[in-house]
Amino acid sequence: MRGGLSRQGKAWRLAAAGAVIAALGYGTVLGDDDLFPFGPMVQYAFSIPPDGEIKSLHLHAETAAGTRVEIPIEPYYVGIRRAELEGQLSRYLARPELLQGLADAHARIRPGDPRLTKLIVVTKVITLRDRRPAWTTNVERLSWVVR
Amino acid sequence: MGGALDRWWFAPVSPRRVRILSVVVYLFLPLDMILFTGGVWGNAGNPSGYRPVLVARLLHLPGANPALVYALFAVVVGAALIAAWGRLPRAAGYTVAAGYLYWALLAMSYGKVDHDHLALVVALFVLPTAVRAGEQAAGWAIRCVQIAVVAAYFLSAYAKIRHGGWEWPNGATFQWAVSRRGTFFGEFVASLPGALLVGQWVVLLAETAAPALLFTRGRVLYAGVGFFALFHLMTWAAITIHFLPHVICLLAFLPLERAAIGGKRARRGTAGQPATVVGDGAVEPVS
Repeated sequence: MRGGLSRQGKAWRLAAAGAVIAALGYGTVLGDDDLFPFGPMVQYAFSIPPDGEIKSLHLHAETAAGTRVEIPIEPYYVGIRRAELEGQLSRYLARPELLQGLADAHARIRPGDPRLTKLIVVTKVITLRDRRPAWTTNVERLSWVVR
Repeated sequence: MGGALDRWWFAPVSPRRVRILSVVVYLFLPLDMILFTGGVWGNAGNPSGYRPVLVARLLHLPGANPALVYALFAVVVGAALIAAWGRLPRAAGYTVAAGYLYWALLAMSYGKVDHDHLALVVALFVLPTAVRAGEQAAGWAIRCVQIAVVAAYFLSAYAKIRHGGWEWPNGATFQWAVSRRGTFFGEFVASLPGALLVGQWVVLLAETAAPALLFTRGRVLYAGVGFFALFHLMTWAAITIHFLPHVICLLAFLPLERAAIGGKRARRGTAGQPATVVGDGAVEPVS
């Protein structure tokens, strides 16, 4: 038979596929993100009640030029992604000096921008009514005077 | 080994489909490593943020640092280009698979795990197994990529109910997505009454039905693939999430071997009929 696989060739392929499927099944039912790449597919796997709140983190900064600006929390601004800051927020709350690393990264990555003198992490809260945004508030979470 | 199971896993596929898919995947990798998992470059300067995921801990993989990141990038991209060129396809292919897995582990070990890389990682590991191994080996490799694509959809539907509860489709999760990262187009869709609510139901039902891709063929299959491609296009337009590493693996469902690429005509059966392909008609092995 042209292009046929030996019994052994089929056996290891089935075993490998079975093992990966089993790992994915385990990760999906019982695991969490730690099991990457076998963890559950949890993108957008949470419910927001129709009258709930939408929270997002934002980074504000005072600059040496005397302005207050919003800095995108992106690798090409501060070296990390917004979701990474959100994922480690409790660590930042406990140790605000970690924000110094973001300021250092900003100075390194964007040397042409005004120097940042103070960083403020803000939670923007959008309150929903019947699944539509009704009003917005900003809550300051932590701040750090850049050294 | 059961006959039906055997035919389903090892349905002969033209090795040309594997070859074309390999070229697409290998040429895509540099783009991915610069743009989509490009966070690794930034992580190199953030040693205190390293929170290795389980596999990285088990293998004692060190976190990102500038020398490592440059070297890993060079090895993976170099091997990918060699494999795409068709030289040392097996050795270069496995090098890419292992190197890229390390890269992906680094990308997911700084507080945020993405879920659009399952099919790509699976493809990188199975494609080299089909090198010069015949049509059944090609069939298995393609089948694995297809299963990974379908699994990503189906398992995410499961996860939405597991973590979000049965109220997920009637909630405001899509409004959450648009509010945080919506584009002009996304804000427009959100302003249409009921559009996001209908969208949530459509997505949940489509993801649940995705395994049908593994058991349909011809126009129904292509319509299904087209639907998911359109879904990713809409998602990208609305909230700039593109899922491209996953999307290119949708190609495994298409009869790529019929495409005339590089001056080579698609191989045809003796009676002028298209060669047998997975999910496209006959599943009886050619004897």
